[in-house]
Amino acid sequence: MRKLIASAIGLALLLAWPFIAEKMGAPALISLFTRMMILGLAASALNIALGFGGLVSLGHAAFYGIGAYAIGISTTHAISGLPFLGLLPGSDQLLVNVLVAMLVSGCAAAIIGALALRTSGIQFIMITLAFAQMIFFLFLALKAYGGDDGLTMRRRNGLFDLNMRDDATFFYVTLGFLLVWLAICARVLHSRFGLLLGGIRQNERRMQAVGVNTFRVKWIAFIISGMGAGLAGALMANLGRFVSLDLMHWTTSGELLIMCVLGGSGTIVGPVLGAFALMGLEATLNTWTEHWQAILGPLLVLMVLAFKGGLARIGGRKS
Amino acid sequence: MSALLVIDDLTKNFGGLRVTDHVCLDLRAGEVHALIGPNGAGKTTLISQIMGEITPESGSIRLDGVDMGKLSQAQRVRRGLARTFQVPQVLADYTARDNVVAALYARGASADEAEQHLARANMAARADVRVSDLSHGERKQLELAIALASAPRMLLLDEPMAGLGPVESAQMIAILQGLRGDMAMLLVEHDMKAVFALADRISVLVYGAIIASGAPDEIQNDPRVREAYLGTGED
Repeated sequence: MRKLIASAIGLALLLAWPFIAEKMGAPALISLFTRMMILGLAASALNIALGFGGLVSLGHAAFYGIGAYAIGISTTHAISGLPFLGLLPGSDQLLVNVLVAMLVSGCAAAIIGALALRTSGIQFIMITLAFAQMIFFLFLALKAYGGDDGLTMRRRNGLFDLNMRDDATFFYVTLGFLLVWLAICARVLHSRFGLLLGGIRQNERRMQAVGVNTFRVKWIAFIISGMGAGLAGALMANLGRFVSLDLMHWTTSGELLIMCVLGGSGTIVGPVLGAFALMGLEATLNTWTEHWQAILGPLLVLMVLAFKGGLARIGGRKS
Repeated sequence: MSALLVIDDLTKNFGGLRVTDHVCLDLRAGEVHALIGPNGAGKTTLISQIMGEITPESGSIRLDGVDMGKLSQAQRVRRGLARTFQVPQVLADYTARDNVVAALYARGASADEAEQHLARANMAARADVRVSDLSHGERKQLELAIALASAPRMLLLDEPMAGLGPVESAQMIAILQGLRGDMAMLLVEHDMKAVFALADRISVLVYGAIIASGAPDEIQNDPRVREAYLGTGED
């Protein structure tokens, strides 16, 4: 019951946020909260691999960035009218581009996962990081799509007849995607697949002994996780109308990991809470001192120690 | 009666150490076959080879005439093999029921079957208890329920009495007695009371090799077995 009330209050606050921000005379907070939701979605995507499957990936920035580049490239080709590779037409429609971004990120996750999941522990962390760095340098070398300057999108993608230039409208569109994604996560967690994935996280040897093809289960989880990160990347590219190469930097993977741990990995809303907490702290400390990271670091350590299991588990709440 | 499981000339080395030495063993359907021997004799390694967790260097393992050599662990489970572990391998964050349900889902069965498997392992009353709150003995029983959920024709039991007190051991023996006839069991065990209460046949493994095989009274009176494992009764 407490979980339901907390979720309802959180959702009501989010729904009212654009009005509150306008009343406060701080419309920039709408974009900040949109950014928090997108990073929450990315962290939640990582959580499928990390929290549900026990796969500590340092490569999710790659899928996040691929999603962003997929939507940026598609939009660029739609505006120029030139097909991608002379074959595929671009699109400036959000639903089409989001599907493309998720598909491309999912394919990348399928290839990387097929190789990386043959390892475990520290080797898995290092191999996912290595693949992410390879992809980072691949896009760095892609001068046709901006290289290290990133890729500018002239306008946000369209969705039905909504005014997507309006930050409040884009806020609600992002909230919609976040809620759908969280519903998918809840569905995965409470499905047969979720039970087997959780079993593998706890004791892979036991699950193999009852006949589970543990590689396949982890691979599917990794692909779903990569697709979610791609969706978040696509939304982030739209938010700023810019695809930054920094989205793919390995530190982004680290930030997503921190969000999961801070909010509560293995819970549904934990990574979103973690994203709000981390981004909120960053934004607040940033206004106090230019050495804000020196405060943020110890503060995060204290928070992780104080809220064992993450913010979502405060008071015994599980998700 | 024809053999359900036939192990022929199985050999495995760990570096320079031969842990399975040309082992030949057969188990009939419904039979309880105990495998005894001193620590380090290679009993658990043999179970791991049967399950496909460890690959033997030579020899063959056949279940109902089908060569298991090329099959994955998952395929072997689907063909009717299941095992328990000396140190219980259970899912500590789940309830006892969810542990069994996971095994049922692994073979595409319905979660509704969980109750019957828990009941067969005398764990029905503890179905909704988190595994981290179960005692060692209850975890052993839960492992058995998990193995039963795989609907095995051949159950490999790796020291089911290990770490159990006299009351829990007696309970485990009673549970295994109740399963007798439903499936063949390969029982690896040091508790001789349990072995002689349950086994139809006994094989003795010493330094990776079978030194004797036969009915319980034959094994008990075999001088090689008494010397290598059971003891002579003279101090």
